[in-house]
Amino acid sequence: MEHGNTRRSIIYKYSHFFLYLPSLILLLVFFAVPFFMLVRMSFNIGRPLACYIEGFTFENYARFFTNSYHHGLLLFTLQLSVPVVLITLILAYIMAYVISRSSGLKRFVLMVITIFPIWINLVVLAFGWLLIFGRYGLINSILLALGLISEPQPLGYNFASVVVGLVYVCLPYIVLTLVSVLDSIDPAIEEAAKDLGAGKLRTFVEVTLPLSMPGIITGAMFSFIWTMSSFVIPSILGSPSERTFGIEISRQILNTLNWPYGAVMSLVLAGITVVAMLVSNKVREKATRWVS
Amino acid sequence: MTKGEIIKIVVALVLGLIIGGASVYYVFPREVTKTEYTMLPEHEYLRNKFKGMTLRVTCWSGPYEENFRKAVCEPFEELTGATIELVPGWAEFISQLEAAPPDQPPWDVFNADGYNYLAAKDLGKLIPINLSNVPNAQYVYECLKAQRDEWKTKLGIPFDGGLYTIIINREMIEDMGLPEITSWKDLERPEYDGLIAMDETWYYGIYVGAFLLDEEEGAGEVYTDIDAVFNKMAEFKDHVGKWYTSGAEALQYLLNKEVAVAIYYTGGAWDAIKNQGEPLEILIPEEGTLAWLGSLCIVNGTKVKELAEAFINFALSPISQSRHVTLSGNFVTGNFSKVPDEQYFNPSNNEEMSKLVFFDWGYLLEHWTEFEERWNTEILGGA
Repeated sequence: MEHGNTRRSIIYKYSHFFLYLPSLILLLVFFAVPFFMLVRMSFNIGRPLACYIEGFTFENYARFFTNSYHHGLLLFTLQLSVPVVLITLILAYIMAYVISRSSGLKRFVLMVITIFPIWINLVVLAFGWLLIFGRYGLINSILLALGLISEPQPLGYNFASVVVGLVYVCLPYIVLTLVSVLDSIDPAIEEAAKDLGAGKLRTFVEVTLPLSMPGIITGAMFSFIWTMSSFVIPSILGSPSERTFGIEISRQILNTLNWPYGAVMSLVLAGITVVAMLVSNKVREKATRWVS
Repeated sequence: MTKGEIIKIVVALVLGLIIGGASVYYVFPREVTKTEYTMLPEHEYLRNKFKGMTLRVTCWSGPYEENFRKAVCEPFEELTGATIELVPGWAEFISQLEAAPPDQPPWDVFNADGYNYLAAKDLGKLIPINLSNVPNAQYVYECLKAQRDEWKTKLGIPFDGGLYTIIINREMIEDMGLPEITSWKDLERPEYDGLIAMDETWYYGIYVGAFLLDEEEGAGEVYTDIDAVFNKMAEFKDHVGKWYTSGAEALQYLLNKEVAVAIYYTGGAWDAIKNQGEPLEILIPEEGTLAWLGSLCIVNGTKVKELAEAFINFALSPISQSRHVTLSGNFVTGNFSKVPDEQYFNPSNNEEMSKLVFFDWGYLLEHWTEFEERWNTEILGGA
């Protein structure tokens, strides 16, 4: 009898592990294994059009760390992420706040509008924007018709159009993250602040905003990672001056067929993402501690 | 007659028309008739041998795939009873080939341009073709037989190609009153500033640079004076309004009037002109043009080599080639194939074919890293 109880308690103790097991296997097979293969690939010998030559060399790392063009691309991608993260957060926070404070049909409609872009293929979306930003696109046509400009202005294929595109893509995900965080804030806390004499703005700045800080940090992290690995949007909406690190990785692997060098670049990108995550975790911990 | 009966009759008539129309379409989908197939002496032999078998073939995606399917794959299926699994692709051909297990290649026949041919050959992914099973290979133009590595190694047989030339949006040029273009040098005229799109890949760009220099025969500057080529392109880049990364993008720029000129492939432009009625025009500059050449290759590890050879033989027949050039606008490589008069830009004999400038992939591969990095920093870096 007691033996049976012990067995049951062991099963109960490890039941979480068994539930986690399928996900763990999935992660191991589809992330960890390819990741280690990527690390191994980065040490193979890379030559254009050769894919890879089996071997062990640090040549690819040496080439990357001495290649100013690729450093420039990395720096540009980091620079690109700054306006994308900031603009996305501001817009997403406003949208999330409005959604969080609404209910019923209004909330449902706002949520549908927010997530609608996720339903459409990114390439189709990006080409659709060409019709808006283009030489004879919607914006130029309106400005021309209103007589505000005399000839079409170059609105697309530049830094601004890439930023707009990336913000648009990131927005739904960040809004959803922030809505769940804002929903979890107990309204009684805000009520208490108001009862103690704080105005709407003060309540927001001193109560709501700090309490939603974990969501803000997660959102910032998400849009940063998305921008760092962005490929489709910059290649369609940008010019070669807006070539991102992601585009170059794809080109090394698919066009130059130098897999080891592409692997090195991918690992550099992964490394930056990991560092960013560690930093954001620290910031989140501090923010949570400060709030509590 | 009641109202319900009238509705039933109308519905039946409409359905009948739809089904009838679809049947006619499926029975007579192409301009080539059954008679033409049966004219081939090996018809019954091929049918008995290959009926029920499957051949996996890869080619460029987009309009090329559609045209290749209609011109070659579907007629071959009807002729032999075999099934052609056409797998379209673009940049990922070699990666897929390399990633697949050696005894399970992703396709049996690889419709490869010079770049992909060279990569696949160097990786040992191609096997020699038995020419006695491909008698139509004899029709390939002599200049190609003399020049092309594919032919010499028998790892591929030249099948088709396209020009990388000047394509204009005629409507836009007329609306804006832009001057006519007859040579590459005309693209340097200030009126065209910012109205030109070209491929951002370095190996296209250096040939354009050589044509702009126009000092040597057949873009020879690429091989003799690459510094001059890069300097020329450093000047020319300011005229380029859009650098594109894919054919679809180039076409979009032209059709949306983002640019008046695209240095682009004839096949894509022809499809837009012919099938969509777009106001585009293909120009052949007086200095000549660059061209890509596609060859049909058999992939190492295939289990249906004879079927693959029969397919290649069929694709090289004058009937198939005439159909392919008519539908796709890409040039074909065989004597006796009929090039439509409206395709003034395509070579139709050995002499015209010998004037085209092809990529020298062997040379480009030797200098790949150097040229690529120079292009990135000197041309695109400052774009």
